[in-house]
Amino acid sequence: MDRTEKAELSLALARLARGDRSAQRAVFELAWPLVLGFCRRLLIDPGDSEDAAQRAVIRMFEQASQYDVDRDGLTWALEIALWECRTVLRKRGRSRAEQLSAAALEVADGSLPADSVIERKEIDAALTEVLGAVSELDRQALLDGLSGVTWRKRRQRALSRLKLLWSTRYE
Amino acid sequence: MNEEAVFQTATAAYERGRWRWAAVSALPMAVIPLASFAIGQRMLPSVVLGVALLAMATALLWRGQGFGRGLAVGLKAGLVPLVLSHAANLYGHVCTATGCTSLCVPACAAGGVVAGFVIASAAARTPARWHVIGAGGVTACLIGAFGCSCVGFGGIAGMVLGMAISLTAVRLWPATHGVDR
Repeated sequence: MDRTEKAELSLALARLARGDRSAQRAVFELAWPLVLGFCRRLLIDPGDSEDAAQRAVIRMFEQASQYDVDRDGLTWALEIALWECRTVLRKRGRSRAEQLSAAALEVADGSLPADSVIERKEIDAALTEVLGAVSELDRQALLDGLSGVTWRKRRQRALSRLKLLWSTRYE
Repeated sequence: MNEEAVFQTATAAYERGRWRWAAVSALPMAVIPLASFAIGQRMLPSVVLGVALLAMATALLWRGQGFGRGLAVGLKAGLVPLVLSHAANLYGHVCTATGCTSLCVPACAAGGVVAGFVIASAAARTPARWHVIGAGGVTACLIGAFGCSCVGFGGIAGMVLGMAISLTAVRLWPATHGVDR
């Protein structure tokens, strides 16, 4: 974002803070690509980054009446985006902690050694993620267990694609 | 969710946030009916006018721009008849050889004249002058009414009349004297 766009964003936000609804479109068009790009840089998952960017823009509009006209609009917008990205990361951390505590419960049962349970959970999560990334057709070929030459060839191709995906992510 | 849908959700969130902000920002104005009740001890006008003032202030702040500016101007202007009428009420009656008379109505009328002048001069400095005059006039009337209701409708009528006269005079003066405003 260049200096002109930065100034435009601050001006549009000031107009919106005063109740000028005609500035809504300008604020959105200036802020949306900026916030989306910022969230994409902070969060690896594209779904997470889009969710965080949407929440950030909605929160920006919700708090626009409280915007201090002497502040830099860009900094203000990015602060909100950063907060939303942090919330996503915190949630992700919490779900990871929940997985670990579930694993800890299994360890407490005594059925498996602690490190095996955690390792198994991690492998399960990685497999689910990689399987989620392959196409619907490949997933069907890998999981349905159908027999026949056509299915076998299709399964082999799907398996090689899965291996490739696995190696790009985890090797 | 596509960009347009995000924009629509964001604008709805803006309105929601603005109502909340307006309601919270208008709350300190509750001090006017409370102080007015503490001085005048009139419960019903304080409650009715207090609710009307808070509702109107919230609506004006939510709408923003000229209306928001009008609220600020009307608040300042309305304090003049409010203070004058309460002072006249506390002072009591003025007795002459011909009899005793309350100072409330003259105080309200004088306060209205000053308030009208304040609003008109503030409106002249903004582009949305009719919004400022409308919002400022109604706000000043409501605030002044807390004090001017001491003598019933007469006090309020005196204030409104005084305000209308000064507003008209200040608005008309530049036109008749060739001043471009």
